[in-house]
Amino acid sequence: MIELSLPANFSDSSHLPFIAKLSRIDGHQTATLVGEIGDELMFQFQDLTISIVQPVGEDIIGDIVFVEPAYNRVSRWIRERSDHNTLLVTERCDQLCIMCSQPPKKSHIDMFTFMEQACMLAPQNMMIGFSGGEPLLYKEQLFALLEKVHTVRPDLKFHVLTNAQHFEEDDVERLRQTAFKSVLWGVPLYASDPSTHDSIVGKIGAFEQLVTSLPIMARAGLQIELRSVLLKQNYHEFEQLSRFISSKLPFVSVWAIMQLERIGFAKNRWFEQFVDHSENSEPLMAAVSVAKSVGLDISLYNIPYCTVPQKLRGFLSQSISDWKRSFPADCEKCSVKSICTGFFEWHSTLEDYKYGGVI
Amino acid sequence: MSSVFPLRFRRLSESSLVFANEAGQFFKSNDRFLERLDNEKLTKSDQEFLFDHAMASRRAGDINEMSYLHRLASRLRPPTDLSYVILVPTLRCDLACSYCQVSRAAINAKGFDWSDETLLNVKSYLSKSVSKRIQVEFQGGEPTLRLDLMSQIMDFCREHFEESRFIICTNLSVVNEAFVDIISAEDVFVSSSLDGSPDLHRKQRTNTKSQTDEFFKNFSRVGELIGDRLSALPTLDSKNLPAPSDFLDTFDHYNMRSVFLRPVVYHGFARKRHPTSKDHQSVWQKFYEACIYEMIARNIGETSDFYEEYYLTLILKRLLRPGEDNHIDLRSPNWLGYDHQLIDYDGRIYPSDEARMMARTGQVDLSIGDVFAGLDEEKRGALQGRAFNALDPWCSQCPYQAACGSDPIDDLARHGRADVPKPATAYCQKHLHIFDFAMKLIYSEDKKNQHSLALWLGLPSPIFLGDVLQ
Amino acid sequence: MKHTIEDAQIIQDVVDRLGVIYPDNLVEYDDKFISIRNVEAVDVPNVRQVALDQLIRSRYDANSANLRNMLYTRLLR
Ligand code: SF4
Ligand code: SF4
Repeated sequence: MIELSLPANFSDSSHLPFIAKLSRIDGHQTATLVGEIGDELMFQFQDLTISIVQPVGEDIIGDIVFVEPAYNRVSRWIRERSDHNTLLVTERCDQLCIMCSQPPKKSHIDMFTFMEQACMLAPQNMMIGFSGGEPLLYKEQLFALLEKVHTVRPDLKFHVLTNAQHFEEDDVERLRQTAFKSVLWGVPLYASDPSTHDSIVGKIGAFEQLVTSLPIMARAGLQIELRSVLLKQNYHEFEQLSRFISSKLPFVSVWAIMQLERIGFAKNRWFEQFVDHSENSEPLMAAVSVAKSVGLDISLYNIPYCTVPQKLRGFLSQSISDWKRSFPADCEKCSVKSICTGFFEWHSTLEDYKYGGVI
Repeated sequence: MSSVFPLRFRRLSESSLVFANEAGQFFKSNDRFLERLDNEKLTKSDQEFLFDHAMASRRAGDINEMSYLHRLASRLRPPTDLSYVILVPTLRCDLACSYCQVSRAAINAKGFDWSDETLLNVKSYLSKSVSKRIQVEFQGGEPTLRLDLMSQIMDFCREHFEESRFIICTNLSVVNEAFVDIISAEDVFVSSSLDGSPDLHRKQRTNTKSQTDEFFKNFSRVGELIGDRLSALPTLDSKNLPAPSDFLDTFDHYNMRSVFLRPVVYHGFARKRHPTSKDHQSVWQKFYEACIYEMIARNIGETSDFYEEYYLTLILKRLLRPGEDNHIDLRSPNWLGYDHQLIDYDGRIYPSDEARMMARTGQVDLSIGDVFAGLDEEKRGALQGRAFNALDPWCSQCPYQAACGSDPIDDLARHGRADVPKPATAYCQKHLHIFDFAMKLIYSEDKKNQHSLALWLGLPSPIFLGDVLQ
Repeated sequence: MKHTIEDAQIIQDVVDRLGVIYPDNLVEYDDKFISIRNVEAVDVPNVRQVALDQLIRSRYDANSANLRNMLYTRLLR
């Protein structure tokens, strides 16, 4: 389990929140390590002393943190040793996906200033994610942030996970600028049948809006990663979805197909939503074949190696996050564990799949 | 009301036609649809079909128009830096093959090798023209007569470029320790000729039994040493074709299941001695199809090590995937003398192997400069006139245009002019045949055919690759 | 062939192209009819089909030329 939010003590709890980089040596905007007592690390940020308990088995030096003295809390926004850092732009969303992994909330706290500072401090060449909620509900601020960070840090790459409901014709000129060449936009699409897609994302007209937005994005030259989750609700239509993408969306850079994660809303609705592809791999095979036939890049995520037929294994990608590095005990004996996707620690099991097991 | 992106059509049989647009999207239909299209009386279901397949748009800027424009754009590749160069360190050769009159000099001839000065200039030319990656193909003559020059070039490239790959085209008549040493490097590939059977090989190439035996011994030995870094091109003469199954057996014997089938091209005198007529073309086409069907029959059940014909796979990919355009004979725009060049034994630069042959036979000088004075931009510019098949009056009415290419040098070499109407060119006839054949396979209901198509395209399972509008 | 053809340019195109496709036959147009001479009896249906197809092709090509140009213009934007 990766601890993102660490309890901390401060010499002055009325100090305003700020962004800092945890460091051994003094530098720009660093909280500098000044002492270690047992597993407790002491940092100095200007006049403020911070003490943090180092989480077991993890190095937090080098991390970029959001510090909130009033809440006795330090949040690790950008972990130096991770490829999967994501900043939460907002918890509000205008869709309500039935399997949402991060169920939205009504309230919003504007963190753009802090996010911008965090990006400026990020390690060289890092890819930083933005997600939500729906980040583009704050389109103006997000675009401005991406532009501003790019001028100072052209080495950084970004991934923005968006439902793409908010792109407009007027955005095209702006999005054609070089700042946006370093952004990959992850856009969920769950079915080619408008009503199936709309009912999965919980918004009528969402599909129609997507079909309007995607060409706008393409005209702006944005890099698009389509994302589709396997669900009971759409699995039987997967080949159709692939045909739709293959004929209408040749401009997407990659299509990510993912198995459901037992988290968020999906946790309590697991049996209504999870579809066992090992039992019937036909729709998945056909979808991959169709997309591959037109030369589309396809990646399969969250799919244990042993649960798909040999011919699909070449399309598997490793875990999408370092949250999923856990394996059930049996897997220890498996010869392909090093290339297999991991499991969540709290749901580390193959029992969802009828077929599979050590290879 | 929707506007249909302009279609082109071609008859596949008496009752079926293939339709395609300039972006390369295609489908099969019939005369009734053609009539509706011609009379501008498309039915509602025609329009729905075309809209669903992104071949018509309902309004400017909609998703279908965007996808159409995107496909069109990805088929319009701009010229790129030099990345593939054929080097001819010597023109001398130790064999005298019946079809190779012009690309060789006698083994003891003088003045047919790179001089020290030429070598120096080749290197400096490469370092100026190549940006990051380079593929070098050594040709001759017999390039292995000058192993010294080859290894100097290899060392130079490995040092100067991020990525290098070398292909040695050799007759393998001599395999000595120095050669074995050179090819042991992982970035070195060997390409030789294998004519189908020992008997045929001797007739066309090695002449004596001992030379033939020596070749097969060397071929096996190199195969054992470098595995699939060894490949072989068959030299097939439509007047003297092997039986498809014997032919595949020979290649299979050397673990070569991916074969590039093409009839030998004669140049200069040899062309006069071996004229190719319409009859030969149809003999060739029959042989070609028979080989493919034989491959398909052998592919049953095979998944990893399957038989394929290189060019057919390429054609299939070009039909289905916009932007698949790394073959110099099959692309449009075919910018000549940009990413692909040949440097001859005398330091002259040509846009392709065929272009140098034409200079050698005195047909026309298509050199675009030399390594001493550099590229002659004017001469190179003059070659680009027919690089883009969408501008050709015939191709622009052809459903295969998006997938097809343009090869003005071939037109020149075979017909003496570059402005021959397409249907009269060997290039067009050859490609029409393969495209039609590919369509036949795509629309075939035979499971065996579909199985092989899936293998060739790397698909996990067979699927319908082409749609039909009833 | 029963098609009435109004557009002289289209006719000329069809005649020119048929001339290339059938270099050994004389292809002519006189007042509403395109004729191809010296076709062997067995080839007649085939040649007729080719000619008809070419007529449609040239006509459709002419009719869709504007759209094609328009799409290229949009491509360059
Ligand atoms: S047994 Fe475990 S490690 Fe092996 S493929 Fe299956 S899930 Fe992966
Ligand atoms: S060369 Fe022939 S086959 Fe190729 S596009 Fe032109 S007309 Fe069609």
